[in-house]
Amino acid sequence: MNVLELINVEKRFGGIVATNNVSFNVEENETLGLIGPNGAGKSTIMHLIIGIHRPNEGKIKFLGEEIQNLPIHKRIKKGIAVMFQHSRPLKRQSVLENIKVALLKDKISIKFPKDINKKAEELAKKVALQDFLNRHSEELPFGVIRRMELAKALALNPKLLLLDEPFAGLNHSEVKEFSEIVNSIEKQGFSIILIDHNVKAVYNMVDRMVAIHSGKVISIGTPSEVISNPEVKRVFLGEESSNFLEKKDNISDEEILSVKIKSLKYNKAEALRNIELKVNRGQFVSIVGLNGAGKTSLLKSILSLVKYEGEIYLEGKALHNLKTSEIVNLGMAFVPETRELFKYLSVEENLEIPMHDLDNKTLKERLDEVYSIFPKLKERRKQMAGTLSGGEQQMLVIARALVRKPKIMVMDEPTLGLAPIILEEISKILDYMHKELDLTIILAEQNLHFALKHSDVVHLLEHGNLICGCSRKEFSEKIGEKYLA
Amino acid sequence: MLGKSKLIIVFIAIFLITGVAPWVVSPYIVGVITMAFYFSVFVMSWDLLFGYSGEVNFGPTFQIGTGAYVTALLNLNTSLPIGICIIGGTVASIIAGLVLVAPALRLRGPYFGLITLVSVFLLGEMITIFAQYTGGEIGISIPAIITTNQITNFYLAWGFSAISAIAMTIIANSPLGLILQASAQDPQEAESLKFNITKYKILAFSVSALFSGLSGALLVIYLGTVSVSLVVSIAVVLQIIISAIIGGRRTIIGPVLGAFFIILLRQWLQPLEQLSYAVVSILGLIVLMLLPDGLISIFVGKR
Amino acid sequence: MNLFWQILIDGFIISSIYAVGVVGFSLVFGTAGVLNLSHGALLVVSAIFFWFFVSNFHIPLVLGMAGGIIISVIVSYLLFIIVINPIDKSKKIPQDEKEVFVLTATLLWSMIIEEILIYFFSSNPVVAPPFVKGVLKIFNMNITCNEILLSLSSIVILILLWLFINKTRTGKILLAASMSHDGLAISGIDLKKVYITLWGVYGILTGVSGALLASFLGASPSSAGPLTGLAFSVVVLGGLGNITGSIIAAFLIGYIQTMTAYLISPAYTPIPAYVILILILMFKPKGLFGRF
Repeated sequence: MNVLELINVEKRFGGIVATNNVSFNVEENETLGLIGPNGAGKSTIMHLIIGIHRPNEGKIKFLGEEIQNLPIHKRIKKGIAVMFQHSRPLKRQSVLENIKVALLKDKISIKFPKDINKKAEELAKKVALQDFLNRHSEELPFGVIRRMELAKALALNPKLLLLDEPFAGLNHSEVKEFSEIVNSIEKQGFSIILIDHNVKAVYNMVDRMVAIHSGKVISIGTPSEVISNPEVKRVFLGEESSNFLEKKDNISDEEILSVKIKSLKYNKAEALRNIELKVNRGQFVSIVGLNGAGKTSLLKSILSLVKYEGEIYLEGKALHNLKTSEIVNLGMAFVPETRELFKYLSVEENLEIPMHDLDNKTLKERLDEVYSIFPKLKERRKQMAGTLSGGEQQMLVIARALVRKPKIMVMDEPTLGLAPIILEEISKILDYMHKELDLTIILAEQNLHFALKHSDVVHLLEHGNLICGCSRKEFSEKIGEKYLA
Repeated sequence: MLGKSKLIIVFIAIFLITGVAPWVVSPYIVGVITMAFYFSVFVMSWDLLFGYSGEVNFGPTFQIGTGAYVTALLNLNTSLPIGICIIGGTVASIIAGLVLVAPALRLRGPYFGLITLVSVFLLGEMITIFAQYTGGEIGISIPAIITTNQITNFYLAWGFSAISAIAMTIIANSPLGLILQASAQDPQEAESLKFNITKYKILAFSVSALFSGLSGALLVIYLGTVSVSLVVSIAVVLQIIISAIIGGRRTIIGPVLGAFFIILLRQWLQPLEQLSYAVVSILGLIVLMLLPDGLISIFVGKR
Repeated sequence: MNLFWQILIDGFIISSIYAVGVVGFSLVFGTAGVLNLSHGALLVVSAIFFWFFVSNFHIPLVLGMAGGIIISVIVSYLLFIIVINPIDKSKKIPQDEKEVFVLTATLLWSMIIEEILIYFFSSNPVVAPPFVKGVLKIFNMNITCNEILLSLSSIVILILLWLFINKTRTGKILLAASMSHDGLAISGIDLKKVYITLWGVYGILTGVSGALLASFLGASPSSAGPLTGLAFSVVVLGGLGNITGSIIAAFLIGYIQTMTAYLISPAYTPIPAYVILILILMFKPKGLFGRF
């Protein structure tokens, strides 16, 4: 019998189709992996199932009953539970109290049920939390919080449990610990949907997999079937056809950037520790790693967009006490993952903002220069940035970074959520910037093939640690395969 | 919660110390403290809504004022017994709140705060427009008086304040309080734990309105007079909010401390006349910026 | 027929002054995300100082107005330096409660200004002398030249503001700040400078509108609250942070108030704005025109 059934579900946000005709089912006692790269539409599907969004078309059936129009709390009462990736637990309360909340009935009452402490303690034991009962969530590491969130979901006694990226942000030992716990609860008479962008992490844990890309289901089947599907391979590994691009021959051995980060913490969770990175002038350096590995944190530190403990030097000048704008004015440019475009301004105005301190003549020349690299942007120069397609927006972000004629370009996942054909275009632009404009480039990427294709040096960032730091050939021999599946 | 037992000690201390006031201080100060008790209930009710369900109410005086004015008008224009007038005022305060303000509880963002602020302006305008009934700016005096005995009045206020504090502390530490805090922290997650959060927010709002309205009604009967500057104006709203923040929001008892601090400070600064309001506001701003956890954090540490 | 023209013209005059009075509030919210509940107080500050300079020192009106504007700019910067910036930077105040702290602190700020003004200038309303004298007869109605001048000045100021924001580099940077702060930082622009410009522009804008207000309706320290309420109603009606929306909403509310005054009773003038605001907040909280 089907516990959950999605039938031709479609969700649009404005003009953007987030999920397109998605259908799949979850059987009783089954663990289903819902996989797909960042931006594929996994979260939207999860939100549709629990009721944060409602579908524009299609049906969602839970135990045979249509639920797509019910509010969240009614669906939960029917037996769906969810563990969010980014939760905000009660920070002034203890772990025990946090679990107790989940055990309460949706009923107004002044007295706690008598056995609630005992029940909460039992649940805590199930997820190995017994030593943390009286600690406050604010002071606990990520891994413990994640387990507390799991205990809360289990407290609901679900028939279907959704786990949203349960391993994101966890370190090695935490991942191991958490997968053991998930394995131990698996056979307790309910179904699980395990949502993850990391095929490797869930491969051994699930009975079946559904692979999603650009809001569409691209493959359903056993893990081995899905993983050998050519489209899945292409989506997860990137385009394999194109070989490594030729290396530039004139890289100097003069150091342009040196990064030493002792530690970077968000509250109590450590995102980076003991990072050392050196970049030579003219080099193309890639930092690869999965979602949550700390890539964005590393790049944001270089730009002083986050606070960290450590020292960073650009051409011998200390950056760690400077503001972002000062660093940019020293010749660093940044292409952020979140793009940060001025979406209600026109394309041309977006390009003019970084040139606010230039005279009109230089400004015009620079505009012409970037338009010659991005002819599409010239066509659309009067259009509002927010109305551009994803690929065009990405080009605009790169162009905006280029107009200040930087020495070094720092790019965070420029390929995120873009179609293969656009990747090809962006790839050409990166190559042009690297070889013709002689830029030093630091690229953070999830898409390994894309990164390998360009790089002189590749680093792997895993759970806040930088490993390897070798040529692309060495990297693909040593790590390449392990990185993926 | 850290220092919960310390909070209870502070609580008992405040009420024991103030309880002997009529026998040690001048009758004038006894009158001031009686006011402070009613005022402390305004502040506690505000804290229940803000501290536990995370909603900023810029219009506590909409509830207080409605409660006070309806009680006064009932007493003035009908021959109903005082008790019924008080109940009438309290019920009117809750209903007015539910009709006008509670719908905004569905919304996220600053909208609830905005709508409550507007409700105060609206009430103020209404009172001015219907001046033939409400006395306009000047206000009205009413015949009803429970007792003229100052000590009885003092203990009435003392008891009312203590009962309100106990009731609200129980609510804050009950399953209800926990669910409210969960909804304030992350509404989506609270709903995903099966809670219909609007229901709880409306309840919290109603409880807050009940105590504010009742306190407003009792205050009118105690003073025998009501006016905009006493129970409606934005200056009163600010005093309530400052008291809660100065005392220590999210503790119920901190606000009582804050209420006393503000009322006594105002009394002490009275020689400055008009400027005393400005000084209290400046002081409030300083505490707000430098000690955001309030005076109570001095006693029980950071929460 | 006469009544129709009366409403049309009076409504236009009051609406244009409202529009100028509230755009600053909208600009600050859009750019810095600050709902400044001391907006009304700032209008009153410049209005009263304008009146004070003119009536005490007998200087030309324009000089007095300049004085009022300077004071308004100073108070605007003080608000930024003493209140807004410290809260923004504070580590003690939890991030998710900062909005409440800003609202409360600006409300307190408003109270402080109001009380200090009452202390020095009493709470009596003041009316600045008219900029020009004389009366015009249009469609059988007498309209003072001063009112026409004020209304036209308001329109000119709105046009200048529009040109500043949409046509100058500094203006575009302010506009961009309302869309992405990080985007500005990585464009090499120091956010602090953006804020300094913003609060300066805000001070000037509010200073000018305060002076217009003083000459048209007059002002008293206790009008600070209601003026903030009005600004609020207009800005929420137009969509928070949407400057064009605010201007349209100012005209809507201005005309509704004028109609209430003429068709029902002048005493009821403030009510419709509040009722509309409450209805909007309940049913269409993003305002009539949304963001941008």
